[in-house]
Amino acid sequence: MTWVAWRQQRIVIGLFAVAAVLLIWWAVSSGLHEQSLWHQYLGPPCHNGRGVSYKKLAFCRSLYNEVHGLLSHNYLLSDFAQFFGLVMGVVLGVTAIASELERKTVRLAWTQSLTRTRWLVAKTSVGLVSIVVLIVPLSVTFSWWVGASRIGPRIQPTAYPLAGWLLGVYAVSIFILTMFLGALIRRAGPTVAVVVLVIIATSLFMTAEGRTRLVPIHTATTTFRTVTKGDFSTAVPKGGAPTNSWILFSGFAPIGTHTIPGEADQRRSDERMSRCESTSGANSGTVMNSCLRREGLRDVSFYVADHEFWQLQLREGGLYLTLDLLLFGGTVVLLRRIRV
Amino acid sequence: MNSTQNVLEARGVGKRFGLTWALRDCTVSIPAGKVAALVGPNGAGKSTLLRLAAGLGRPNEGSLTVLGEVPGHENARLRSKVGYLDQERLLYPSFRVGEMLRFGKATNAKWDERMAASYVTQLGIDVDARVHSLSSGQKAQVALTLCLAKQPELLILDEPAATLDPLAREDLLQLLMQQVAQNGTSVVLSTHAIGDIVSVCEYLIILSRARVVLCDDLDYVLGSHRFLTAATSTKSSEPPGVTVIESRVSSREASYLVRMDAPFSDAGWRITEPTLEEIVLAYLREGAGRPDLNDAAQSSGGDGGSQ
Repeated sequence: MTWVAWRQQRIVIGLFAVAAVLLIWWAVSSGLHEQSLWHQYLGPPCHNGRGVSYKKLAFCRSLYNEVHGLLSHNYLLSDFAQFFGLVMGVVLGVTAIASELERKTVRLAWTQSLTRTRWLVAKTSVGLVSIVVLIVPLSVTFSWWVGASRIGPRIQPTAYPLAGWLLGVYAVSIFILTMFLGALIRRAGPTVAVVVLVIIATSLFMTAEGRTRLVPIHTATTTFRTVTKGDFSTAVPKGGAPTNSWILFSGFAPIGTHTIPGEADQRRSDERMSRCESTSGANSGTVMNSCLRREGLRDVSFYVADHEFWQLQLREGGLYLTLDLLLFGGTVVLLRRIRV
Repeated sequence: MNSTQNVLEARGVGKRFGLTWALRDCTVSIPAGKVAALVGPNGAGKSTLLRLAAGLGRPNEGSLTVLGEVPGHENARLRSKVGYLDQERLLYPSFRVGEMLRFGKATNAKWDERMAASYVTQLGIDVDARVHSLSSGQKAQVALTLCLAKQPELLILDEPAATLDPLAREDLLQLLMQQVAQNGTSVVLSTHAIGDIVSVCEYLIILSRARVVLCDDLDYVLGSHRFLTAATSTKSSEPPGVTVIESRVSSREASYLVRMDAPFSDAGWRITEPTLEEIVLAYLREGAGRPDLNDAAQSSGGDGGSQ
């Protein structure tokens, strides 16, 4: 039966294999190019834009523009990589069950000398193996690409789904979800529509709420010092969240606040600080610090630290895989009950 | 399986889809080694009964056994002994014919590869041809080959010859009869073609409005049904001692299609033999007009479970 499942899906799997190779080629070539640009920009003579000599200013500016001009390209490639897993999961899942039920070809398989469970196991195995074989090299490539392209720290939402093993977990989960919904709805079109809605809802929830509940949120307080150059003096922040962290909130909040303040609280704190600063005159670190003290506020950052990356990946991935097991069990039960 | 055992035995089987009963109170026994025809208008419940027998669903009421076992989704052992041909000739359109045969081999332990190859060659079908490029007749033949090569004890065929041209129909029935003659396979087939019943079947089941209205040996059916005709002026009432299936009474003549369970001797009636088509149509018309015919037929002792 495994051969039959493979034979039924081999064209689709072949197309995905071609797409995966193209994506890997795209990521590697653009990653190498960006890595080289960054290497030049961070090293002499540009030094990340700091202390550039006048003679090299034009060169460094064009390098800067080139590096930052690739941002939209990077987002596009990132979207393609994420879409690849999602589309693969949906297509393999919908052709495995919903299409067969819709076209009634299950009657052919289900009247041969094999059980419905064995039929499902064969279909699932072919789908899972295909996903793993194609997604593993893609995940490895994009984990490297995240660093090479400097699209953002790996813990931040722009890079987080691409680095680590979540590309594969997402594809597997969507494959299993689509099979389950296919067995429930029994029609390909509506199944895809519902899967897309579930993906959007889950993605929004996980980014906004879900992930922050899976790992501890750290806080860091920022203090200010005054830097004076000639007649000009300004407040320079000191401390705060590490630059490679995923910052969930950064701003003023009452001392003793342990959770991310709501929008109204944020607005109130901002108004109190700006009122204090305007009455105090000069914008210096001393003024800032004294305003914070007077208003009972602190400049705080809530963030997920970079060292939580694998913890978060494992917990989120584990959550999805546990749900997958439940959905697979549900699919077995549904298929046993289905009359065709 | 014991040769005296029934290959299919339904006792009060009912199947409901939503609020509609597709099959109701169906009691049928089909003896082993017979080619049984299941006849009825569209929507009578033929396909439903055959799908239940093939293990594609479960009855909502009553009991059903096939080759002495309850068909079910996890009873792979029973399905290895049953070949099922769906009325929609379900095959994988993108597969080649040879791949369909490989599918049969991969999913059936008792698969006879040589037999499958020989049938396909005999029918002149190219094994490299894609299923979607085959004619409907060829598709039916490939689908039937898949059923036959698994060497079933029972073949369940849902309108196997529907939509086929006369030549393809003859080829298909010939292939079927070849299998029956060689292996003694029992067959239950649904059909609308009365000609097929006469040429290949030995047992007749008529379904109407989701109920069984007749279930008996074809020879018995033909031998026990007669037209009784008399002038209306001499016979004003129905003939006595027989079961009237259908009556046509005009001002001049009264004609009754009856089932006679005992010899009938009344000189006032002219007795003629009806054709099978006339018998079947009479039952179908009566079934359509009288939803309780199943009960009437059962009480007369000539239907469901008379074996």
